[in-house]
Amino acid sequence: MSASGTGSENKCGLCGKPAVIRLSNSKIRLCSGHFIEEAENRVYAHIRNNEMISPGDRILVGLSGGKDSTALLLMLHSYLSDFKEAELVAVTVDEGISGYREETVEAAVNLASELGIEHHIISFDEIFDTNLDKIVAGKDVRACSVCGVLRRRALIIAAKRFGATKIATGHNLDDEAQSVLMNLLRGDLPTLMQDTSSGYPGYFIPRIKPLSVLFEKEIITYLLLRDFYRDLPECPYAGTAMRLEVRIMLAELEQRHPGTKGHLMKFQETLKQSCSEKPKGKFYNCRICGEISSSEVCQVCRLLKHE
Amino acid sequence: MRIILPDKSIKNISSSAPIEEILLGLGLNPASFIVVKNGSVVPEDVSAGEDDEIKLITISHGG
Repeated sequence: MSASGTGSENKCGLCGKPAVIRLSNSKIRLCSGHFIEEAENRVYAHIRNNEMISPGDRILVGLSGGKDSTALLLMLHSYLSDFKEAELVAVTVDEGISGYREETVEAAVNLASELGIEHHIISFDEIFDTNLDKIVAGKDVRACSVCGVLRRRALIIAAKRFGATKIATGHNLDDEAQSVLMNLLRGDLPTLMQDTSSGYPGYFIPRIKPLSVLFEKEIITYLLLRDFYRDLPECPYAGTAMRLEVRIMLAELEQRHPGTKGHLMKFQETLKQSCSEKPKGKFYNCRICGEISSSEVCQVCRLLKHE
Repeated sequence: MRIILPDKSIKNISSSAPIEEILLGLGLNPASFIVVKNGSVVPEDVSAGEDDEIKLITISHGG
């Protein structure tokens, strides 16, 4: 998609071509080429500054086929084509959501093939001997919470199966700001302070979120401009989560009070830095499946009623 | 101008104004959409006139 001539004031601050975006933080306008470059450089700097990738890493990229993971794979592929210090393996988790997952799985297969990246599909059916549709059918449960717990486990299983040293997910700045507010609303300080980026030796595989410096709007704009945007269906369970309410609330606040999402992220960062001792949870090995857990029986086994 | 909403429905508006203001007038939050004017992505504060076609892309969750 090209840039448009839209009047004398809408010009790229760097080259004077028609602008496609006005950056939220700086208010600088950028044309297509300069925005793509700026977005990629912001993500690459975030990767370097937080030492997300080390030489020899084999990074599992959670590739749903949706917008965030598509942008994540494109950027990591581009980043590593320059530095060649690590390799990628893309994994798509098929949760078994009828009428939704089929299209996104196809998009994931096509993207990985186009980029020449090793790609695997794993399903809830294969791992848990059931799927999301079956688990939530006729029950008063929050599908997004169930799905989140099982997807995290599925990615850990995939990381072990495919020899990955880190798990990269496509969480963006909006997702992260929503999580900060949700944890505040729930009074969940340990989760608010949690740092999963370094992992726990012998327990958790480190998780990295390279796109957490990009707004959701910037990610879609990036994909539109690079011609990788696909109008895929939204998950049918998306409307059932508290996250949706927080998402709408934050979008309205951001419109009336620009910078709100950034302030939430800054708040979390300041809080983490100001606490010399982080609230620590106690860890167990789940007595049923053996996975690391914050309780004697892990969330996955409780969800699947293995206790 | 012709506005194509995310559900593919069309609204015709006979005025010129910043797209941001037009969306707010329709009860839509400009922060929740990508604006495509005459086939090109533009910031939402760009103005649109009678002959322009505006397409809105929803910023949907997930992915």
